[in-house]
Amino acid sequence: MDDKKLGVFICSGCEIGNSLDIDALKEAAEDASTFVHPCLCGEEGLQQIRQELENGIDAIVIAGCSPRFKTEEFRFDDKVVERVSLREQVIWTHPPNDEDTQMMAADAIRMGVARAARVAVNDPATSESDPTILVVGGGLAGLTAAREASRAGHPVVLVEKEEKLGGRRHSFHTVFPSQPPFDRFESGSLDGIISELQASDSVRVLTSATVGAISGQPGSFDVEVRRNGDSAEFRVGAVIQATGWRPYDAHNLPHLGYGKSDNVVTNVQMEDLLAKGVVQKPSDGSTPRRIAFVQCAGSRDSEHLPYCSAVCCRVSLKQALELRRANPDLEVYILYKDIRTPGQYEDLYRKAQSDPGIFFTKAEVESVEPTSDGSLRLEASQTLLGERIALEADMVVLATGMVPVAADGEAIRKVRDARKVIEKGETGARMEAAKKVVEELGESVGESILNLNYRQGPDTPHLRHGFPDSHFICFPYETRRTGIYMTGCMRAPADSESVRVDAAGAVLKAIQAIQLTGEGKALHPRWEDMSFPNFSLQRCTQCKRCTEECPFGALNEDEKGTPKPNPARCRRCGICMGACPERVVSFSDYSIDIVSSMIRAVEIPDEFEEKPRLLCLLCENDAYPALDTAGMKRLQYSSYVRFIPVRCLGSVNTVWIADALSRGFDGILLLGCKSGDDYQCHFIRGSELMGTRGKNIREKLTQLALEEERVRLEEISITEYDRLPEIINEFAEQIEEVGLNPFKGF
Amino acid sequence: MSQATLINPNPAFAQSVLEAGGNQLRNCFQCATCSVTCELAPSDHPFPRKEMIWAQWGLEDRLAADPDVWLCHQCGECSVRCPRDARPGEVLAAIRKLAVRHHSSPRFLWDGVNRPAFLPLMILFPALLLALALLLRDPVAGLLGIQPHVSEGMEYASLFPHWLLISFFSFFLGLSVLASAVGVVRFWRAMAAANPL
Repeated sequence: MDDKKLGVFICSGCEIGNSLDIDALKEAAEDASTFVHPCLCGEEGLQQIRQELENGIDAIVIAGCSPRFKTEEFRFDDKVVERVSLREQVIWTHPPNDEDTQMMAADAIRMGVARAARVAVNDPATSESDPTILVVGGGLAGLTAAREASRAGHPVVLVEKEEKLGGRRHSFHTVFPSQPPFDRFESGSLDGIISELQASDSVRVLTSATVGAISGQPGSFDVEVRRNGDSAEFRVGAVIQATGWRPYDAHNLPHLGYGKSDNVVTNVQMEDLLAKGVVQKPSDGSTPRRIAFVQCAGSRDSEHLPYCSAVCCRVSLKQALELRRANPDLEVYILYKDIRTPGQYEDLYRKAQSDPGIFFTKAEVESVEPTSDGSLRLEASQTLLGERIALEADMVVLATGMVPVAADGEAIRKVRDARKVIEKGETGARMEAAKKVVEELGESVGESILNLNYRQGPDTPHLRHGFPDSHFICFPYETRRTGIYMTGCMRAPADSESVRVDAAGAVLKAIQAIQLTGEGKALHPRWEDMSFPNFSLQRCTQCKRCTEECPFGALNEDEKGTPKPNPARCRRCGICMGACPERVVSFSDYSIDIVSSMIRAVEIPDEFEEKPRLLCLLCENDAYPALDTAGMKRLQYSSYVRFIPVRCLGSVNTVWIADALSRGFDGILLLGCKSGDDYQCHFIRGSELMGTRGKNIREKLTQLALEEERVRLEEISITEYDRLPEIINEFAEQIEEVGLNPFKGF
Repeated sequence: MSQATLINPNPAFAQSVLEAGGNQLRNCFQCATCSVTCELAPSDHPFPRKEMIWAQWGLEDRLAADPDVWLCHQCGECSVRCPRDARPGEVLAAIRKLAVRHHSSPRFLWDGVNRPAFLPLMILFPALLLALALLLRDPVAGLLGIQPHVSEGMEYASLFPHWLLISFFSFFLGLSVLASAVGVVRFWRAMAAANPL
């Protein structure tokens, strides 16, 4: 790549010119042409850059502000543009006109030049992307998604396993008010939208049908739909799963009387009773005089459903008001943990409170027992009425929560793999492990719904409580399977209005997936990135690390274990690149070689100068913006540190760490996002994987008689900019204590 | 584990609290802002939060035996701070009123005094008693051998002689003192039973 003509543009504005010796800095660019301008982002400065590009410069290095600023100004399409942050990372955070600050700036330019010399702009991998959207599930969420998609001009294939469309919501007697003044319950029927979809030309409705298999990748999924023994093939661009929910099994709540008396029913059963007209006691058909509602029955309970299902409070308020309207002599007791009525629904709560026949108290209901006279006795503690109380009622309604109808692809795969091991009759630890997996998960994994032909399992992985993995706050609808989106109550429990909004959101995501895939661009979170991983498979040793570690299931495998890439499933995080011991994987603008050459570009002072060098590989999603914020706040930190941003900590290959240590770096700091259940990693497992690799690295260090303190992993969030200087300074102090790298100068 | 107390909600009594002045009672959602606000609420059994839910459930016996409502000065701070405008101060006033009724004996006298509809009756009833006393004055005087008052012109005593005055009013004064005493004793006993020392 030495034939590339490089131009280094140094901006001396924003105090850079006053704080550094710019003439000396030019020398760091070595052979490249250098230009200095007092305000590079101004029209005059930009004109100069354009002029030089016309004069035959292939790649430019802009040394000035952080690459997160002035992005529009410094965009030169089809040209390699490398930004070097002299402002935030050097002069704002270190003393001006200081020897160490100057060295830091020079190294930053050397790294930028090294990178610009090796980076290439690739042609996007455009492909034919089918506009059809597959919607799995014909309840409220699925119907809404199908309607929104067809209105947006996308053909839809709607698959429903039952004979009729409508799902659970369609059978409800009434639903909450959706129109101002929010005081009238509305019919639960979905006949309107069902007939609209059935009449639509662009929506193909398939009832009594299931998904037999899905293979391929976004833009070109091949779907096999099974129906009455036949099967049909479809090509779709994206998939929306809206398989809904089922009520929590109240048989798990014997202490609340379910199963002991016919007069103990669930809220779903009460909805059926209300639909029939007059509510009668199931045991003898007489009219109940007192009905008690037990809220959070099996919800917000670590032994049952640990979460809140969002609607049960409102359902009970609605049912109580309807029961009272039908029978004004009825007394209704509502025993709650907390009444949760968000938004306008506070009015529903007030309305129920103002009814003289509805009584509320906070309570932990401990038992519901049938009595000899045919009524039911409830005992509750922690009530607002003062002490342990007992109540008598003729019927008890258990407000049970929602369980998502979703299959955990990873668990299913684990069990399948384990069963294969058992079939093969292997021996030893593998057999023991396989038996354990089957014993623990075998019964509970259930049936696959999407039947994806993915190496990592036939459905999306779960995060917790049986809901599909996604980062609910930052990235709603996202799953770890690109182009497959979740919506409705199987994504998060919600009421009808929220589900409608949710379904529209999932459709937007699906359309985005179809469109960007066609243009060869990445999806969230590196959306519009046109690079993609190249696999030099002749060196591959089939170790399966990449196919196993890819958080998005992008890689399938052939029988031998060679990865089979699906570029449209890929989110371009580079975790495969970090995983590969053979350095098989590379991107046109991000590779083992590019980062290694940046590491080698840093000048290491010899041991007599007593200036340690620390390499900081930091995640560009959270740690890098935090570093910029620290710069803007002018927080000061050690000038021994050199920064190289990485796509994800998971993309850090241990080769770089070995390179850095052999070059003479004294310490390596890895900054990534938070891992664990509440992970903040944009690629789900990056920092977690680095944690595991880090352990191996430290073991290796000890073997080399190097101190394991030389490599440190820290997890920070984007808001913790104030912790960064502390972390860097503390690490620098620790390295000074440990001493300089003995390999320096070898 | 302590024995569970059976609760029998009484919507009629709850309704009577609303009618007696606590007409915003049902707004209460038990946040306890009132109890935190109240300067007089004892820290070990603060009010008015608990009285609010007792009143919502119509637990008359508990409210009638509750000494806390009598600590209230009706300063109105709780009603001002209440986030749901349930006006606990007014509810406590209504509870005090109904507690008096609960313990009053005979009960009809409380209704007579407290209900405007009974006002004509409350005027008519003593008037009738007085008329009856005047009607029976001479026969009773004859029976008891009391000399009729001899007047030298227009004198009040010739209409309502002293012996009648003293015996008539003393009798009713005695009755009302007795009724008050019975009420106070009943109240005290109820409080003592509900709040063992």
